[in-house]
Amino acid sequence: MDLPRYEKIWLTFGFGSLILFLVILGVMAFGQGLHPPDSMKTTIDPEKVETTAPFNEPGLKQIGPNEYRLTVLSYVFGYNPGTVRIPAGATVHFEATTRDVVHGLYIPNTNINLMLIPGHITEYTHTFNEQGEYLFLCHEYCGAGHHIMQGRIIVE
Amino acid sequence: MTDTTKETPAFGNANLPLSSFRFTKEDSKLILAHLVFSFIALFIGGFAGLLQGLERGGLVKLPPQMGYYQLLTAHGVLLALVFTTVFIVGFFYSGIARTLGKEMSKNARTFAWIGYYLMVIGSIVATITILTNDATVLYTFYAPMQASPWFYVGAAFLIVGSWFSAIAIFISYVKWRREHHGKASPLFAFMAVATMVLWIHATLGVVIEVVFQLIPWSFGWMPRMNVTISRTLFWYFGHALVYFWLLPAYVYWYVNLPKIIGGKIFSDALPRLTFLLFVLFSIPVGFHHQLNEPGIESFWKYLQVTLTMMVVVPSLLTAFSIMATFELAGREKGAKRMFDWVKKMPWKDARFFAPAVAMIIFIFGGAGGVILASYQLNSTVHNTWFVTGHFHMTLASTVLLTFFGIAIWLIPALNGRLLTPAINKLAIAQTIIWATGMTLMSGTMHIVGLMGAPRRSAFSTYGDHEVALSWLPYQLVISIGGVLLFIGVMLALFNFFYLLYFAPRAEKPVDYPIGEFAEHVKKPPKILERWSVWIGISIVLSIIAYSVPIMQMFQHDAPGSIPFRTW
Amino acid sequence: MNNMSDLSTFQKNQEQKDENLRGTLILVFFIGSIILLSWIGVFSIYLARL
Repeated sequence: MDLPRYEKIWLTFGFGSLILFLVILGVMAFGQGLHPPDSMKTTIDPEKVETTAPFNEPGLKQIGPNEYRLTVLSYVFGYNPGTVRIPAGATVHFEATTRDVVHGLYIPNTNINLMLIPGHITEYTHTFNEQGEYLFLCHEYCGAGHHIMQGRIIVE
Repeated sequence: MTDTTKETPAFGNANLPLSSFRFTKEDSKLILAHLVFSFIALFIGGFAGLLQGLERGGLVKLPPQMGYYQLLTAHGVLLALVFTTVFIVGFFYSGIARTLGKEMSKNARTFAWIGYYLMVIGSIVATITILTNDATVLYTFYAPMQASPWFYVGAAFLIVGSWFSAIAIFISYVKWRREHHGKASPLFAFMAVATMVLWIHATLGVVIEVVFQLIPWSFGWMPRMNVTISRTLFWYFGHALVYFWLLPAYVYWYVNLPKIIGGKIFSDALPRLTFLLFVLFSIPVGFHHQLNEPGIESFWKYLQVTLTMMVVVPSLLTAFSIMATFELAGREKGAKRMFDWVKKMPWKDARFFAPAVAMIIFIFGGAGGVILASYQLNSTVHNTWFVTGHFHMTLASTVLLTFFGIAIWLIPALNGRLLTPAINKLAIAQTIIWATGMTLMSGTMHIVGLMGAPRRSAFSTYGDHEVALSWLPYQLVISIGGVLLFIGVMLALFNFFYLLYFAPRAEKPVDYPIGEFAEHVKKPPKILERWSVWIGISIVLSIIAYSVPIMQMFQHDAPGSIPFRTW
Repeated sequence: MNNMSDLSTFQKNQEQKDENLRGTLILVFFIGSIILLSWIGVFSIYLARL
């Protein structure tokens, strides 16, 4: 094939860079366990979500020294709980789902970027080191009030 | 080609080449019908884009009977789905007629017209449901938000219509190959076929979603549907859709542009291989749109991320090949120093200028794309304005500017009018306005996306939270960029309609530029045209990437969803 | 013309052709560096937000 020599050099460099990206991402993922949110283990009936544990009692539960489980139920157009207070340095295990359509749970300026799909529970863990009032919002279009769907995590 | 004559009139820095090649009346009518319909979609979709852009910037308040999300749905559906598909099909027909025996066969034309009417009917039906506010679900129509069933029926018509268009292209191609036994097909035709093969494979996903899930569910024949499966089927199609938009632009760069710049295509095999790589790798990658959702195992997400990186490779090849074509052409014209060849390019010719600017913008579009596909990094940008900025640089700049560059010579080549110097200048100005508007809009979207601003959201200060307030100045810049882009759309449409109905008639039509191969170019290996092999590998790759995760979705058996209307 | 000189003409042509593509090589590496730099940029934002 008439592939100029310089094109081979370029291709080697380009392909090499892509492989480098993949190796870095792969080591972080499978070596350090840094995956995007997923959860394979649990499904939940969106129509019975309010009577199914743990979403019958959404909110914050302490499960260890400065370690919490935060159960969030989303719906059009809000979250339960809407405001959460935690101490600085707290590790929070999110578990979230939706009662109706697809929602998102996104905290700007963090990597907490969760998709909430009916029938599934999304899990993610994050440690809040800095104090402040964190805005969380829905970042998947869910209807007429999508842009007012929000909550706060207050780190004290 | 040899029948090109350089007569009159002065055009850019060269003479406008005319040609003795003429499309048949039937072909002209067919192709112009496609172009005109796509421009109507461009107008409505662009106007909807302007209004929602102004609303998001906080500059206008929409009247109560006109919703932000309704406009956004119209913008996405009409531009990303209708305009692109219909325009692409029209452009392909033109190249098919030009390179495969000067006209389309009667059979092919019959299929083409059936496809056209199906697409037109589907688009109109879907648009009506959007206008009556019965389908405010955006162009990704994620369940369990439920639109009017007619919206989904319209979408099905659009896609099935495009299948008829694909058949029309395949018929012409097969007929030519039968008549030219043992010869390699013309490059344009090969690329059109590759793109349509990719399109049919990809649309299988969304057609299954629409026909077996959304339509029965929205008519009430089926009370619940599995949301994760529907999203997976959508993105089986959704990322390849991106390449369905991009590849016709590549066709123009590879096949038509060399002629316009007075250069030669330096390889016949390499561009074919490039397109085949797209056929292989643009489908088994849909999970990179679903990285942040539950119900799909990490391993399979990462596997598809790997395949996504593979689909970058043909674009790397393209970047080099196209630029090399330019450099060789410039050196042929006597450019000596390192970058003198850049100056030898016909910058004053809009047929070159628009796609050249498109290529420059694509550098940033490509960079953003690699970031978005990078597994964990997706968490930094997923569903933020970064994504919107990304596909406005790729689709709405790289692809669209190339299409504008095509339209200004294709229309006169079809209707036998002149591409006047004035329209050429206006098209250059249009390109500059577009690039400026897009830099303001999409460049800012990338920045404010990294600052956390979500995409697809109406104006909101989120209870005056400081983070949301910090986005406001950027939103203003985005709106200003949007206004410039709308001016750009109007200018483009003015050009098109002038060329359609008012430009002076020419004795000889504008040349349809088809690049010639350099002398040393070897015949492409036969294997490149053994479609069964490539389609086979493409299917195998999709099975590898998708079969286990989809099986898991069935085993997992998440409870289905009842419909919601939340707008 | 024997095979040897054929080969050397071929090589010379090849070198000539490569020589003609120096500008392209530099520009694609420029594109590559934009991609690399922006990737590293967002990667560091990701790490900073962990």
